Amino acid sequence: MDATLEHLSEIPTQFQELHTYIESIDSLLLVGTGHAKPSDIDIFRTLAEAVPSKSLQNRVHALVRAFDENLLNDEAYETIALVRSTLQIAQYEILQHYLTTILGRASIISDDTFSSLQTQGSENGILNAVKKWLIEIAIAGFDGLSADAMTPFIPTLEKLVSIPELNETHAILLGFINEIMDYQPIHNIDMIPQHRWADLWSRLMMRTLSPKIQVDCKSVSGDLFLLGLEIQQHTQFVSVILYGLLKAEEDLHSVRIVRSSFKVDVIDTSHIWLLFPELKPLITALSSAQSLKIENGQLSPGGDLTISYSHLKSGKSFNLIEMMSSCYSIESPTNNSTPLTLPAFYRHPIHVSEMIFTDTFQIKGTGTSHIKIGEVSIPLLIPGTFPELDTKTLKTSKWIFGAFRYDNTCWWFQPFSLGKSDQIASEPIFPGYNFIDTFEGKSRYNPVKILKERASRLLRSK
Amino acid sequence: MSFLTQGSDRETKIDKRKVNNVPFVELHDGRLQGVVSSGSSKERVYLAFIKANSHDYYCSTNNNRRCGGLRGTYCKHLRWLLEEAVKQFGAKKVAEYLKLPTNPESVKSARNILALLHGSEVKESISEVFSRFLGYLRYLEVESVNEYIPEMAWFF
Ligand SMILES: [Zn+2]
Repeated sequence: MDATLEHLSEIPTQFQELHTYIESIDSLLLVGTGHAKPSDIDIFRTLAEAVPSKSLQNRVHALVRAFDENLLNDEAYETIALVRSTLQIAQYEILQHYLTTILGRASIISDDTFSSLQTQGSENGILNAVKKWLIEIAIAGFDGLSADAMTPFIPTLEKLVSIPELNETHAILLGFINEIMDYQPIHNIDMIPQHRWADLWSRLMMRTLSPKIQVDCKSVSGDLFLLGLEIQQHTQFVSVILYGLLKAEEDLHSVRIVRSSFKVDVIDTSHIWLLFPELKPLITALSSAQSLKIENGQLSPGGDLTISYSHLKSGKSFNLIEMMSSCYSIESPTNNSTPLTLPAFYRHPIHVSEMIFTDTFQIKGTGTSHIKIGEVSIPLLIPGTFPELDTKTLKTSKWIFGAFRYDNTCWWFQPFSLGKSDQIASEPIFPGYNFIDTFEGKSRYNPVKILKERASRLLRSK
Repeated sequence: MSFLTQGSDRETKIDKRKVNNVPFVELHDGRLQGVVSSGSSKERVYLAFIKANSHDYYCSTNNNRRCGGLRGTYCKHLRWLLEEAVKQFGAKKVAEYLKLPTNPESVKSARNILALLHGSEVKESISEVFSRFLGYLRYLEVESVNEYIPEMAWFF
């Protein structure tokens, strides 16, 4: 295919077709299965023959029968999530392939499936409670949700806090519940972000089927070159995702290092590093373009690197621009590193991503700024809470490193770091940059410390 | 609406909220409720609430001792709680939640809200506020984790 960046917005029609199916499922979740008309489930009659595996076909037939007989069981709701996720895996693969083709990069999508779903015995009870709650939501419909519907679920949430194996499910659940609560009371059905909530609903349902995916990691040692980061958060959980390159023996791997923490609402972006004192050597290395020596890190096939924070040794200064451009330059399609990939279980268009480095770009507009690369203009995706990535800074930056990402209708460019200078010693600015002095313990106001002191006093004296 | 650009709204509202005096405030179960530090003892806190609709209120220590500041009106703990709630959620949201007899858009401050409250003291269960607070604090005791959670991509 002779596609170039100019064709980026011409989304493949197969992707759009799949999206139409998903929209029908979302409409069902919006009104609720308790209020569904026979025509609302026509989508499953259509899909029964279209889904790829025989076992899923059987499940969809069973789902349609259950609807017709008005006997929806737990398995029927699992099937709704399974079908929706299957469609989104296909969407991810179409779009990821399209993006890499446009960029002239090799498309690497592993052909694993998520057929081997299994839950661990000890967590079954609580996962079942989560599933029951998700089913209640699906019956009521997003438009029928009230704050009262959340109350019976609170004891389950309280139990989850003491089950580390379910941290991930718990984090997603809190984000979803808080958001539902924020929308209460729902005056206008058009205000409900039905696609987003259907995504969160089905991801959570999938997590009740398989709370964790096991991957085989290998032990690696070498030099880590950190290039940028992103921060994902809701009021009760935050993840810092550092992107970099790991040179281990002769191989260069694109890697992702993640550190996540539960938090409370009063801890905002300006306090982010107070939650992660262990990240100080990494953030220092990133902000000064210095490598780190990694010993016996664990590297997953997808590029997730787990390291020991207590054994980090700093390495040498490196040429950040050269390092980024050798692997992620938009102009030259050679990626010298193994790219990041995602297991099938997690695939969804929101994760379609290719890392990009460019020093030939323009930033246009105010409000939602756009990055113009060649003749193509792409809106910038910048969380509103990072003052260091304001339009003025972006407009005066000499280089930018980030990723193309996709949402419902269009492509976005999300910056992970940018440079004020094009000199070899260019040091990056990144989300959270303005608050790195809090690592020094100099901040006058430390809500993490104040609340942790409260916690240690009150939780122990109880 | 883009699903990638959700969620920044709340952050800006809690900009200036400080936890020194009021470590916990929430809009929950039909009440604005929370915890206020005691000036004299680190082990003691005041638990207080204002109910939606009726605006009835109460304030007591975590040992169930009625607050001495309740003299027929909203004590200083309740006033501080209200101020921090406005910083955290915004005046409009608090006004809406308490069902003030006015257009929530016109409410700009904790002082505005206080002037419109019309409840009276009501001795009602308050221990739940304390357990909610302990539940809230428990999140800070969970150890940080290394796993990549792809679904966090929905949250900014
Ligand atoms: Zn009082």
